[in-house]
This record gives sequence, C-alpha cells and structure tokens, in this order.
Amino acid sequence: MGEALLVYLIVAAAAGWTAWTLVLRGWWARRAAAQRVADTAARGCGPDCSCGN
Amino acid sequence: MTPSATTAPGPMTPTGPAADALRVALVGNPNSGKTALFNALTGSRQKVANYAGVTVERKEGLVISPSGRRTVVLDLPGTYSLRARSPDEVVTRDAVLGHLAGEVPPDVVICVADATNLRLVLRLALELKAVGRPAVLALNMVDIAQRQGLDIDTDRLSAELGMPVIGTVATRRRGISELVTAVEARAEADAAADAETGRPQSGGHGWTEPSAAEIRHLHREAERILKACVRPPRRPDTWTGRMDDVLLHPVWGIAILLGILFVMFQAVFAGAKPVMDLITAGFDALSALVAQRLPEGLLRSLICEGIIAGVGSVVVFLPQILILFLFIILLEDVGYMARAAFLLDRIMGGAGLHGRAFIPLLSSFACAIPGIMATRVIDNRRDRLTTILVAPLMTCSARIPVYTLIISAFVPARQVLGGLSLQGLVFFGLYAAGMLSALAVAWAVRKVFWRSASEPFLMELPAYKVPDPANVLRNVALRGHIFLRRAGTTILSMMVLIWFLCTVPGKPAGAAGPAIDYSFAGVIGHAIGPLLAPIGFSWQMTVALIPGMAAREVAVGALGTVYAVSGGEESSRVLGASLAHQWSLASALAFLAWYVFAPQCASTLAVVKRETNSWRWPLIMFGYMTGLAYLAAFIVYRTAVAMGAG
Amino acid sequence: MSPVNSVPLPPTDRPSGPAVEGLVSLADGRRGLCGVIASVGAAPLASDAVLADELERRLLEMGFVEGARVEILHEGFIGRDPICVRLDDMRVALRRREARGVMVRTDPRP
Repeated sequence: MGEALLVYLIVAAAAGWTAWTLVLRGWWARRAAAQRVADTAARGCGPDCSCGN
Repeated sequence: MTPSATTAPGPMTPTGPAADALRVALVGNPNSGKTALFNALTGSRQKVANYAGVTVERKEGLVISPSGRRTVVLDLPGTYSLRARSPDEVVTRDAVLGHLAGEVPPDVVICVADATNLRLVLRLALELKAVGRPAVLALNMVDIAQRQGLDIDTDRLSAELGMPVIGTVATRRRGISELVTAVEARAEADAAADAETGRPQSGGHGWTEPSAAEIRHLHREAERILKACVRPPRRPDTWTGRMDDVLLHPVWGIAILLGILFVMFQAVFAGAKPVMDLITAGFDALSALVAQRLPEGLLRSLICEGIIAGVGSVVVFLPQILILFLFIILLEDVGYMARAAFLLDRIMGGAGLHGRAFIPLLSSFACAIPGIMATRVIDNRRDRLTTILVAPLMTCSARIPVYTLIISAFVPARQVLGGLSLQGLVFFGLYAAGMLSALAVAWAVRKVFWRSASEPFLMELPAYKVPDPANVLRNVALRGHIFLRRAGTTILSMMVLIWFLCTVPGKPAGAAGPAIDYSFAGVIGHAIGPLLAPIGFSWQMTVALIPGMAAREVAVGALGTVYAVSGGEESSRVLGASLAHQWSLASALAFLAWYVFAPQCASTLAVVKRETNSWRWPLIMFGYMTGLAYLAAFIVYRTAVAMGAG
Repeated sequence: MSPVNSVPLPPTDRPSGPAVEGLVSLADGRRGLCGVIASVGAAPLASDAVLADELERRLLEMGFVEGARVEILHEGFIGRDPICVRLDDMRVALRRREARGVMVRTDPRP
C-alpha cells in the first residue's frame, strides 16, 4: 500500500535524522577535529614551539 | 582573483590559498565594540560555528575590500592580555600566535580599541607588536571620544606602536573602508618583506608568558605612549558615574535589579500573548486546510497530528524567546550586566559561586547550553564546574512552553495584589524556585566536593552606552533563527518519531480503549508508570517525559500527540483544556515541580560531557537532578493531595 | 595592615603632615578613599586557589599598577564587599580579598 510505505519512509528518515543530530554528528565532528589536530602535528612544529602540538 | 596584489611593491607571492583570500583576526578588550566592528565589516555574510574540538563560538565573516580582494575576518574572544586565563582566551592567544589546530594563521591582526579607554588596550597592542604579526589598530568609538573632547594624536600613536591607526565608528559604519584598505596595505607590505628576505617575518614561535615585571614594564610603556598621544577629555563622561550612584546603590541598586528581572518575566509572559495566539490560530488553520485536502488515513494523521500539531506547539513560543533575548542582549549592550554581577557577587559568593557566574547563569535562562558554554569566562576549574552543575536549574526557555501550558490550564487568569497577573506570579515563582535551588545546590557542591577560596572577582565596569538598535536586532534575530532551525530539524524529526510510537501498532479490530494503549508508547509508558505513580504521574505524562529528553519543549508536543491521538475527536480542542480535564491539580503541580529540576535535556548532558571532558560530571548532574525532581514532585503531590487537590 | 612583598616604595616629596595621610591597603579602604597606588604585591590569601603571583599579574593587567590613581566609588551591600573603584579613567569591580595586596598612599585631606 503506497500510503503506508510513504509514512514508513518518512518515519525512517526522521529516525535517521534524529540519530544523526543527537549522536553521530558529535562523533563525526570529534573525529574531524582529531584529524585536523593530527594534520597540524604532521605539518610539524619546531623544537622551540610552545603550541603543544 | 587578487588584482590588488599588483600594487604591492616588490615581487608577488602567489602561492597557496593565503595569496587568494586575506585572513584577518579581530583582537580587543572586552567591551571595546569588537563585535559591532565585526558586524560593520562583514554585514550579513557571517558564519557562526565552534572551533574544532572546543566549544568556543567561532564567528567568521567575509568582506570584499574596495580593491575587490576577498578578506576573511575572524572575531576572536575578547581578552586583556595574550596571557590566556580561560579557554576563550586560549583560543585568542593561539589564533594570534598561529598555533590553533585547524586554523590558518591570520595575515593581519586588527587590534580593536575603545578610543575613550585606551590604557589597557595599548598594552595589548604592545604585546601583539612583540609577537611580530602585522597589526592595525582600529580606534573604535571615535565619535564618543570627540564628543568628550578627547584629543588623540593618531600619527604619533601610529609611530609609537609601529602600526597604522584608523579611527572607526562601528555602529555608523564610519572608517570601515579605510580600515579594510589599511589592512590590505599592511598585508601586502608584509608579503613583500617576506619575499625580500625569503622567509616569513611574522610568527608566534618563541612567545612566552610575561612575568609581573614584564607586565609592569609594558604598562609603563603604554602609559608613556598614552601621555604622549592623548590629551585627557575636556568634557569627560559624567553620566556613567551618576547612573552608577543609583544603580550600584546598596538599596536602590538591588531594588532596580529585582525590578528589571520582574519586568522581564512579566513581559515574557504577558507581552508575547497576542502574537502567540496568532501563531496558534495559524497552525490550526494550516492543519484544517491539510485535513480537508487529504483522505482520512495514516498520512493525514502523520501530517496533522504529528507534524503540524507538534511543531506548532513549539514554534508558538518563539515570541517569548525573542523577548527574553531582547532583554538579555539590551542589558549586555547597555553595560548593565557587569553591574548586575557586582551587585550579586556577594549573594553568589555566599553560595560558593563567582560573581561572573551570573552571566552564564542568566544565559541559562535562555538555554543551559549557551550558559554552560559561557562558563568559560570563569577561569578557575572548580568555580566553573560548580556553575556548570547548577546552570540547568536556571529555568531555560525550553521550559517556558511546558510552564505556560500547565499554568494557563490550571491557574486561573485572575488579577491579584492590585493588578498583578496570578499566572505571571506563579511563573515568577517557578523561576525563583529554580534560582534558589541553584544557589542551594552550588553551596552543597562546595561543601561536598571541595572547600577552598574561590576565583578572584576582578572585572571592568564599562561606561554605559546607548545600544545600537541594528546590532541588538541582529543578535535577537540570530537567536530566533537558531531556535527555529532547531524546531525545523531536531524537533520536527522527534515529532514524527513520537507520532509513530503513539500510533503504531494500531488498535486491533474490536479492542476496547484508546488506540495509544496498544502502541509502543503505551507499552513504554505502562512499564515506567509504576515508578512515577507515587508522584502522581499518569502513564500519558510518563510517555511525554521520554521524548522530552531530546528537548524539554518536545514534551508539550508529545502531550499534544498523546492526548490528540488517544482522544480521537478531541484533537481539535485546545491541549490545555484537555489537560485541565484529564489531570488533577495535584498532578499538574507535581509535573511543574518535576520540570523545575528534572534533567530533561540530552543535549545539555552532552555539552557538559564535552565541556568537562569526562562522563563523571554529566552522570553526577543526571543523578542529582533526577533525585531532586522526584523528591520535589513527591512532596508537592502529597501536599496537594493532603490539601484536597488530588 | 598586612605584609606585602618588599617592593620599594616610590619616594614621596609630600610633607608627612596630617595624620590621615599614609599607606593603607585598598581592602581596608572605605567609600570615598582617594589616593595613588604605592605598591602592588601578592597578598597572603586564605588559600592558594590562585597563586599569589598569578593574582599580582591579574591586578597588573587590569591596571592596578604603581602610580595609578584610585578612588573607592561604591561598596557592595553585604559586608561592604565587593568594591567598585575608579582606576585612572576606568571603573573596576573587585573583592576586598583580592584588593588586599594593593597599597594606597592616601591623599591628604583638605
């Protein structure tokens, strides 16, 4: 039945969105931030650097 | 892309993205009009986000220089010194030094100065000069300086500081294009110098924290420059002194502060009413329109009862949130916030809180999340943790929908004590309960977790200023936008899920009772029900509490869904009337008491986890708040029942 | 009067006439106290929540330096704490506990 399918699709999308905003987005942002920190460290700082990387 | 680069003396250096867009950072003392200058520079081309890995608000904007060059402007947190004492100031220091992870170091730093209050910012400018990054001094609020008859020899100042000095009036957009031109010229001169010597001139490596002796030395130098370049005002500002005589008065000052808070809450409750009625009517009309067009069935139920009713019941509180933020932003811009912190420091200090905690706690009236993030202005870790733990007890705007719904359904709209609205008084009482319990919990936290002297209270009281309407409106609109975005995304999707939980699986053919009894929500509500029965909660209330964890105000939408769905034909009736019909007064009061304390917000707990970098504090917060909520609701319910309101 | 770090006091060319003139800690001043900061040191605090040296640097950064003019403008309503002072041409609020290490050479009364 088309209507029920549409409703279930909307509900599934809502569930996905909720999971994304509450859990996954934070996890993703943390991962990206950690990656950037790693990149900065990889670029290298001098031995006299006080930036802590 | 960079036609202006051809005007640079010396060879061009068209390498990397830095040659593409110019990167500029704004640095300045608090209250220097830095944010107003940022707004004047970038207009509406702004992006607000967080710095990578930390929750300091990152504001970036774009300005196109008169010569057509793209310039990215970063508004850094205000500071008195590069010697950072709080996470915000650490961001400023690291951004200036070029050490901030994930940030391109700025090509030029704009040091924003309040022209009428130069002493401290001159020392900051000298610190910036020592770092070696090209800088431009923006002498903001020169109109006020001129009005006071303050003479500033900008040429001499520029020579002494070794950086261009440009007078600006951010609120009237004066001096903005001159500033951008000066920044561009500075960047090109620096790039040319780099090209000549073959290595970058600027950089933050080798910077160390100044000692007390070095600060004294820098201050003496700033003092000398000030004497040489600035003639004191002929008509100094006497208004600030005269206003402080009243506003900081031991008796009048407190009376006025309480008066301001009271007017604020009355305005939030009474002033927003007509607009809220209009919004409610709008959503009702929309729902009726959709109901006409769609055939009876699952889809119509989803759209009308799930989405429109749910989102509408939250969006209706936009006027109240706008009014609340209007007050907070006005008080901040006028310069009153620091005075309020002064007046309240001893009271807050008695509870073991810092006077500065007032600002995070007041922000928590809007939402605990910006409030908890604002605790970064408190340098001491223990003071900060105490403030974070009690911040969610301050009544956030997400509770307003819940309070309003219950109050208007159960408290008669009468005038008492000569014209005061009884509903407004109850509202004020709930706010007071939140505040007092916050003080009590802060006191207990200090006794339980640590006993030590608190953070120094040392803050500048800025001169009073007439707020710039455009800036105030921009900031209020920003908060409204954030709220609506939340209603349009998280809350919308929550509404769909709640509707699903409340509708599926449907009622089996021939079964008795409302359909929701057979749904997933009914199953969960019945399961937790016995736990909350002693405090007078029905299983429908329990069902509404579960989605309320996502965002407190969702509980209102959830109640709407629960009762609209379970009542069948009742969906057209006002939710409040439905509640007044189904709940006892004792249950309603217990529900209000629960909402004063309950940790009904997953995002707050998530922010606490992020800010404290451990699960310990959010868990402690969840535990103590749930305990308090249960206790308070139990006492209120039992008392009310004993008094015959059951 | 509390002991302060032995920062040498600037020589004064004022006659040591009236008895009211002298050094007082800003923490002990009452509303209306006027003078010039003679020394800023790390006062002994009840605890070392913030190291004494750190407090000294924060006071300096806020403009509490030797030679600055101060005047106590307002006092809080409980225990006359915190205080609001005019510091040169700024206004600063601070608690008396933090003001302990700021020594003020008061103006002679007219």
